[in-house]
Amino acid sequence: MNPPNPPPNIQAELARERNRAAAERTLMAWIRTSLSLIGFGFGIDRIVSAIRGFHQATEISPVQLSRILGLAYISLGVYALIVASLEHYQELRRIQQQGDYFYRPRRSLSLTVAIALISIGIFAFIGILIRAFA
Amino acid sequence: MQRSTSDVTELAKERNRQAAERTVASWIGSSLLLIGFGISFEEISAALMQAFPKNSSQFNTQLGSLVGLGAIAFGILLLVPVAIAHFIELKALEQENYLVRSPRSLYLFVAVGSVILFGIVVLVTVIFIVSQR
Repeated sequence: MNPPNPPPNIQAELARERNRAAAERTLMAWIRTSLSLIGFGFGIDRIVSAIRGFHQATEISPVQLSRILGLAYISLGVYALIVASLEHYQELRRIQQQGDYFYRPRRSLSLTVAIALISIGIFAFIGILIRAFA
Repeated sequence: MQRSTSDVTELAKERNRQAAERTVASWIGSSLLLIGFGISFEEISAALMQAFPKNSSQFNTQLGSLVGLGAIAFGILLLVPVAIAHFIELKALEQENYLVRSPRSLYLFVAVGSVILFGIVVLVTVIFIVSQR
């Protein structure tokens, strides 16, 4: 006669399901943030190009600040979405694996994106300041 | 291998981390809106001044730049304390005994207050310009 299987730890199983749902929400938050970044990057570039095309006689921005900023925004959005997708995949693998679960300290994507956004903001601030008042 | 914490606690730590990530992502969205608004405002303002030189006085040109710069500065300043608080939160999660740290609602009050202040400053400026004409 085989010994009966140990009953599953229901609290831990429910906690795993909560973690999976939390991971889904995190990925969705990053999709929204990346969409905003890409949308803004594309939007700024297009709007300024349209205004410039409407009035071609004058040169508005010799360094094309808006284009550089637009590209930086789009790049940051794509980077954030790729890293968030990879992290989500790894988290799902960890939740599904058998055995004990351990919290894994790792580099924070949101901190990286926040620092990058602060850098882009400072760059934009200095660029506009020089152009407007120099 | 001796383990001091259970599976449920470790999973809860991971959920807290993800909640913190989502909070920062939400703040990034707000900050992005402000920085994007600042850049767009300045660019569009400068382009309109070039397109309609009859209406572009030195004051009008500099006002567009100042509003844009103000919004960008505000977006940057908003993100700095959020990033610091997130870093502290991540370090706290790595500790054996987790303790709730600084009150987060303070940042929210500061943010809402700053947006209202920014709106009032712009409103007063616009009223001043209209009254000068």
